[in-house]
Amino acid sequence: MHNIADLLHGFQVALTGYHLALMVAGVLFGILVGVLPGLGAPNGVTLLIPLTFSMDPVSAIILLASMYWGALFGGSTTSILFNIPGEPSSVATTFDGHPMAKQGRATEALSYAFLSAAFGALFGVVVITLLAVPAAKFAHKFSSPEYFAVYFLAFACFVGLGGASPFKTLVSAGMGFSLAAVGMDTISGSLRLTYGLPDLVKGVSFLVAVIGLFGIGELIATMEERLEFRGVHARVSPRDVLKTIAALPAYWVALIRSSLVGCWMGITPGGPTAASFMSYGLARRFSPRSDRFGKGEPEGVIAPEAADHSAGTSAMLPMLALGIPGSATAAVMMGGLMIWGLHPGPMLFVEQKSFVWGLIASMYVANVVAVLLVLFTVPLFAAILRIPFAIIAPLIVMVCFVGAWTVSSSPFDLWLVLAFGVIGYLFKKCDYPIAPLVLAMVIGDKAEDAFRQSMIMHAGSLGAFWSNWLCGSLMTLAILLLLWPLIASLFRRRVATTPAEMPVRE
Amino acid sequence: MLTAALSSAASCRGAKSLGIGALQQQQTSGGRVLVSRRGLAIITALLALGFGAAIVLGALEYDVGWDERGPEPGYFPFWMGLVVIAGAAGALIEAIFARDQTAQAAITLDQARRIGLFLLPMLGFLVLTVALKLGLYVGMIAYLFTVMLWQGNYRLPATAAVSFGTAAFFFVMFEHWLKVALMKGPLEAWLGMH
Repeated sequence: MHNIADLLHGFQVALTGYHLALMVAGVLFGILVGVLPGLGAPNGVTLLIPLTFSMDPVSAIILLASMYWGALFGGSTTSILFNIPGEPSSVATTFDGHPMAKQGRATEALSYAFLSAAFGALFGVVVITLLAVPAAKFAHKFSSPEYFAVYFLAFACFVGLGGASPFKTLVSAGMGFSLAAVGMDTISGSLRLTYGLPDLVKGVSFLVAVIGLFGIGELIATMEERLEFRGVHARVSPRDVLKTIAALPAYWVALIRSSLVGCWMGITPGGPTAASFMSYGLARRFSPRSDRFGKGEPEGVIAPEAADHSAGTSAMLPMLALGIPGSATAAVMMGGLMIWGLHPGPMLFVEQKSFVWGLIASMYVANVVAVLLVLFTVPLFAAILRIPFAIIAPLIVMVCFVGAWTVSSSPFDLWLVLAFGVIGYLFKKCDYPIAPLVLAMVIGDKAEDAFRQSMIMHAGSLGAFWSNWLCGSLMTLAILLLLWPLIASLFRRRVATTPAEMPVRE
Repeated sequence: MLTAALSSAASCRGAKSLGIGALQQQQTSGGRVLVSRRGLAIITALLALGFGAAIVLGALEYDVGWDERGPEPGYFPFWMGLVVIAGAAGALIEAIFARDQTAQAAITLDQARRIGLFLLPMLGFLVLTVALKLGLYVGMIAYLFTVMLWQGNYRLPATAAVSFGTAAFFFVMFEHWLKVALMKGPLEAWLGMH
C-alpha cells in the first residue's frame, strides 16, 4: 500500500509546529468568516490568496483549507443560534437547528452539528485518501480531448443535477467562460473582448469576481431584510458534548447516508449546498420521526451537517486529481494553486508528492483542530454577532474592497467589485446559481486550450471527442446530463397528466 | 445509483423551495411592491441577454470560424456569448410564462430604500478613492464616517474611533506586516507616507 506510506509522509509535513499554527489561525479566521454574514468560505479564501503569494505552496494550501473547514463550522453556528445561515450550505441546518436552540437545546444542537460535521469531513478525507491514487492514475490516461470531456461533464452536472433552472445555469456558466476569455488569448496572443479598455487587457480576475459576487452581493441581500440578530445564548459544556457523543451512534444510518450523499455531490460538482439540502430531504423522507422534522429533530441537524462537510472535503479530490474543483471554494483554491505555479491534475501526484499528501494529512488534523476550537469558541464568536450590524457591514465592505485591491493593485478592480456585487445580488434574487460562473472563470482558459488542442490534434473534427471509449463515454454521459432536465420534464409531464387534472395550457 | 441520486436531486429542489418560502415570509412583511418576482426575473434575463450580445459583438472583432490550425481566437467567446443568449432567452420565457410568482414581491419599496442607502455611500467611496484618486485610506475614513454618523446614528467620538482605527489597522497590517502597498493619494504623499 503506497497510500499509507505517502500519507505518513504527509503527516510528517503537516504536523510541524508552523503548520499546526497555520491550521489554528486558518480555522479561527474561517470561523469568523463563516459567522459573519456577507463573508463566506469562497470569499474568505479569496481574501487570503493574495497574502499567500510569498508562502510555500504546502503552507499556503494548509492555511486556505483550514480556513475552509473553519468557515463551514462557523456557518453552522449562526444557523443554529441566530437562524441566519452564515454560509449558503448551512441553510438546511436552520430548519431543525434553530428550533432546537429555541427550545433551550442550543448546546445539544451545536454539539450534534459539529460532531456530525466532523464525521462527514473525516469520511470525506478517508474517501480522498483511498481514491486519490487510483483517480490520478486514471487521469494519467487523459490528453486534451479527455480533459475537455471532463470539463464539459462538470458543467453538464450543474445543468442536470444542480437543482436550479437549466437555463439559468447556462447563463451563469456561459458568463463565466466569457469573462475568462477577456484579455490576452494564450494561444494566438490577440487581445479579446477588451472593447478598447486598457484596464481589461489583463483580464478579469476570478478573485475580484468572487469578492463581488459572494461578498458585496451577499451583503446587499442581507441589507434588504432589516437585520436584527436575536440569538440564543450558548455555552458548550464538556458534559453536554460527551452526552451528545454517546447519543450520536444511534444516528449511524443518517450519518453514513449523509456522508455518502456529500461525497457524491462533492466529487461531481454539485457542491455542499446542494448536498446539504438533498441530505435533509432524504433524512426527512426516510426517518421514522419524519413528522418531527422542522420542529427540532436532531436528525435534521445531523443530516445536512454531515453532508455539507463531506461534500466540502471530497470536493478537493477532483480538484487535485483532475483539475476540476467540486465546489466554488475548491475552484478558488485551485485558482490559487495555479497562481502559485502548480498544475492541478494527475501530474501533481508525481511532481508534488509532499504538497498533495501534506494537504490530505492536514485535512485529518485540521478538522479535529476545527471541532475542538469551534466547540470552545462558540460563545466568543456568538458575541461578535451582537456588535450592531451598522458597524459590521461597512467594515466587511472595506475588507472586500481592500482585498480586491491586493489582487493586482488595480483601481479598476474596485469598480468591478461593485459591478459583480450587483450581479451577485440579482443572481441570488432570481435563483441563478453562482458556482458555475466561478468554476467557469477558473477553468475557462484550460477548457478552451483543451478544446483547441483537441481540434488541432484531430484536424478540426468534433469526432475528436469520440475517438476512444473513455472520452466518448464521458462526452455521451455529459450530453445525457445536459439533456436530463428536458428528459425529466417530458417524463414528469406524462406521469403528472395521467392521474390528476389536465394542465390549462395544453 | 444514478437514478437514486437524480430522484434525490428532485427532493433537494423541494427542500430548497421550502427554505426560500420561509425567507420570503419574512421579506414581504413591509412596504409597497417596487418590483414583482416576475418583473425582476424578466429584467435579469434581459440584462443577461444584453451581456451575451455584448460578448458576441466583442468576439466578432476576430474571426469566429476555423482555420487549418483549429478554431480562431473569436470562436470560443462567440459561442459562449451564444450560450448566454440562449440561456437568457430560455430564462426570459420561463419568467414570462411562470404561473406562481406573478403576485409575489421581489423587492418592496422599503427594501429598495435600504439597498439604496447601502449602495450610495459605497458609490461615494469609489468616486473618492478611484475616480478622484484620493486613495483607499481617505476613501475608507470618509465612507465609515458617513455610514456611521448618518445611518448608524453613532456619536462623533465612536465614529471617529472606528473609522480612524480601521484605517490605522489596515495600514499596520498591510504596509508593515504584509508589505502590501494599498492605494494612496495626494494626502499620503503630502504627509510623506509611502
